[in-house]
Amino acid sequence: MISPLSSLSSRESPPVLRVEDLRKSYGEIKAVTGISFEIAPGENYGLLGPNGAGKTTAIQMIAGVLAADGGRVTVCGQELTTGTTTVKSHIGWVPQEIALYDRLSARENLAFFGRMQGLSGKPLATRVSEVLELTGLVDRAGDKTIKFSGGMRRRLNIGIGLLHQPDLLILDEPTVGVDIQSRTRILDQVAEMTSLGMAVLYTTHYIEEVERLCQRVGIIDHGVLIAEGTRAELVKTVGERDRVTIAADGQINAGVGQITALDGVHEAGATTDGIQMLVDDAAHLLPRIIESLTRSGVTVTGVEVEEPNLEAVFLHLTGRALRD
Amino acid sequence: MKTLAIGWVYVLRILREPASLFFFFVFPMLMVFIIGIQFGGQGGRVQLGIAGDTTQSITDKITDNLAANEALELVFYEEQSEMLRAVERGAIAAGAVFPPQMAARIAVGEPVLIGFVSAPTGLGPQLQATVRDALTEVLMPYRAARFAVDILGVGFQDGWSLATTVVPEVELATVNLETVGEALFPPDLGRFDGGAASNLVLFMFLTALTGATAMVTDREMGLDTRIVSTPTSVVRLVSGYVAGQFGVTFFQGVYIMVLSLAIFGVDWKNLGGSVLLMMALSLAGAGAGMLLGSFRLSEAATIGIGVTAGLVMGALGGTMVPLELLPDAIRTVARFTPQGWAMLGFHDLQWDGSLIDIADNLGVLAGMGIVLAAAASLSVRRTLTRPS
Ligand SMILES: Nc1ncnc2c1ncn2[C@@H]1O[C@H](COP(=O)(O)OP(=O)(O)OP(=O)(O)O)[C@@H](O)[C@H]1O
Ligand SMILES: [Mg+2]
Repeated sequence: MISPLSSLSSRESPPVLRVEDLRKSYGEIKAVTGISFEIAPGENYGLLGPNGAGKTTAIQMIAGVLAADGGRVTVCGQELTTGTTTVKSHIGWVPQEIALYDRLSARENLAFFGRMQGLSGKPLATRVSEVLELTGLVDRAGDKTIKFSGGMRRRLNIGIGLLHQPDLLILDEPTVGVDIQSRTRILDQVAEMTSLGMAVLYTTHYIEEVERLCQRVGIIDHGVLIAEGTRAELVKTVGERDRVTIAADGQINAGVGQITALDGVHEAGATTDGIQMLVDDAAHLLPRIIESLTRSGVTVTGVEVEEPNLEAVFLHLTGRALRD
Repeated sequence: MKTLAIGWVYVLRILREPASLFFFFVFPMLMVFIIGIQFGGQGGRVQLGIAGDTTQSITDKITDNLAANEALELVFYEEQSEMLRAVERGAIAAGAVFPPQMAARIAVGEPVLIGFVSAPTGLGPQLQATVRDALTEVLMPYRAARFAVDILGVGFQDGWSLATTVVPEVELATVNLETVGEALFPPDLGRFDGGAASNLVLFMFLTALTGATAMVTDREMGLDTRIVSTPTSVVRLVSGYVAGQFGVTFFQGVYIMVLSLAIFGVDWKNLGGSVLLMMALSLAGAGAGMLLGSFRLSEAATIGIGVTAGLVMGALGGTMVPLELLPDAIRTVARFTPQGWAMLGFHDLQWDGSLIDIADNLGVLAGMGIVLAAAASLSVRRTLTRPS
C-alpha cells in the first residue's frame, strides 16, 4: 500500500498542512496540548486516538471553525484562523457529526455547499453530478436527506467536503455508525481521492482503517501527539515480535519453563487459561513451541498469533488498549 | 450571492416543514380574520348612544355632525338611565347626554355641561375625543358670539350675527387646530383601521423574533459551523439569515394586508407607504430575531424569550393600547422600540401622511435592523468559534 516513490516525492514538496504547537482548553479540560505535524501533498495522514483524545478539537482548529488558544495552522503556505475566509477553499472539512439540511435533497445540499465554496453555474452542476456519482447517490439525488439511511447520510456528508476538489480533505471519523458495505465504500472513496493527489487528514479510532489507508500516522492521547511515523516506523518502536497466545491445559508451569529456554521466545508466562509470550518469528518457531509444550505435558487447544500492529504500539505507549 | 443562497435555504426549509408551514400560512390567515372581522368593511360600526334633550336645533347640528362620521352609528335613547345600562352591558361603546336649553344658556354665558359615559375599557377615550370634535365645530359660532358680547358689550343677537358672518372664515383654521391636538382619528376615517395596523405590527415582530429558532436548529445540526468552514464569513452567514427572515416576515405582512383588504375590505389608507413600513419593520424584526438566535439558547428558551419580548415590546410600542392614550413616559420608551416607530408611521399614514412624513420612521426602522444584524454577527462570531 505504501509506495516509497510517491512518499519520497511528496516529502520534497512544501506541505499542504503545517500545524505548529496547537493548543486548546475547555475550562479545566486540556483538550489539545501543543500538537505539531505536517502533511505533504497527496499524502494520507491518519490521526489515531481513543475517544476524548482531542482529535475533533484539533481538527476543528485546523479547519478554522474553532478558535485556538495558541499555535499556528498553515494551509498551502497561508496562515488559517477562524477569521480567514479565502484560505478555507483549500480545505474540505467533513465534520464528525453529520451536517446536512434535512429538508433539502442530496442534490440541493451539494449545490448549496458548492455555492458556499464559491462554485456556480456549469462547473457547480458538473461537480454536483460527479460527487453524486462518486457517493453512489445518483438514484436518490432528488430525495430529501431526512429520508436517507445513516450510511447514505454519511456518504453525502463526505461528498460535500469533496465538492470543490480541495487540496486537503479532513475527515473526522467518517465511518462511525455505518454498515460494512458503506464503510468499505467510504474507504475506497478516500483511497481514490488520495490516488488523485488530494492530501487527506483522517481521524479514527479504528486501527484497520489507518493501517489500510494512511501512509503516516500520528497517535494522539490526552491531547498530546505521542508518536508519529509510518506504520513500519511505529511498529519498530515496540519491536518486531509477534504476540502468541496459547490456550492450554495440563502442566502449564512446566511448559512455560520449557519454552522460555527456546531461542526467540520472550516474556513467556501463564495466563488464566493458557500461556502468553512474545516471539521473534512466530511462523518459524511455532512448531517447536508446540512440540516443547506437548513434551512437558501440556495439552494445546488453541493458538493465536498477533503480528505487531498499531494497537500494540498504542498499548506500549500508554499502557491502555485503544478501545476499552 | 452567498447571502441570497443562505437566505433562500432559510425560506425553503420553512416552506418544506409542515409545522413551520402552519406558522407561515395559517397563523397569518388567523390574523387576517381577526383584523378583518374587527376592522373590515362588513364589521359593525361603533355605536354611540345619545340621550337627554335632543329636540334643540343645536343638538340636531351636533348629531348631524356625528352621524356624518361613517364609523359611528348613533342610537337614540328616551331615558338617560336606559342608555347607561346599555353602556354597562357593552351594547353600545359610549353615550352622550345633552342638557336642555343649551343655546339659551350659552347666550347668557352660563356653562353648559355635556355628559359623556363609557366603559373604562374599549373605545371610550377615542369616542370622547370624537364627540368633543363635533361639539367644537358646532359650538364655534356660539363661542364667537359670546366673545363678541363680552368684548364689545353688544347683545347676544348682535353678537350672533357678527359671529356667523365672521366665523366661516376662521372656522376651518380653528377647528383644525383643535383636531390635531386632541382627536384620535381623522374625522373622515371610515373604520378604526389604526387597530388593524397595530395587530399587524405586533404579529410581524413577534414572528420575526421566534424565527430565531431556525438559527438554533442550524447550530444543533452543525450547519452554521459547516458554512463557516467554507470561504464564507460570519457576516455573510448572518446576513443570509437576516435576509431569509426578512423575506418571511415581509411576505407574511403583505399576505395579511392583501388578504384582509381583498376579503374584508380593510382600509389600509396608503398601501405603498404601508408596504414600505412593513419592509422596514421586517428588517428590524429579522435583525432582532437573529440577535436572539445568536445567543445559543435552547429552542424552548428562544421561543419563550421571543414571545415575551415580542409582547412586552409590542405593548410599549403602542400595539395594544394606542400610544396617544399612554403616559408620556411610555411614549418616550416607545421611541426605542421598532413597534413604536412602525405604529407612529402607520398613524402618520392614517392622517393622510405622505412618504415624506414616514421617511424618519423608515430610516429609524431600517437603521435598527442594520444595527441589530451587526450585533448578531458579532455575537455569532464570538460564540460560534468559541463554544464554552
Ligand atoms: N465544547 C466542549 N466543551 C467542553 N469540553 C469539550 C468540548 N468539546 C470537547 N471537549 C472535551 O475535550 C476533550 C477532547 O474531545 P474531542 O471531541 O476533541 O475528542 P475526540 O478525540 O474527537 O473524541 P471522539 O473519538 O469521541 O470523537 C474531551 O475531554 C472532551 O470532553
Ligand atoms: Mg471526535
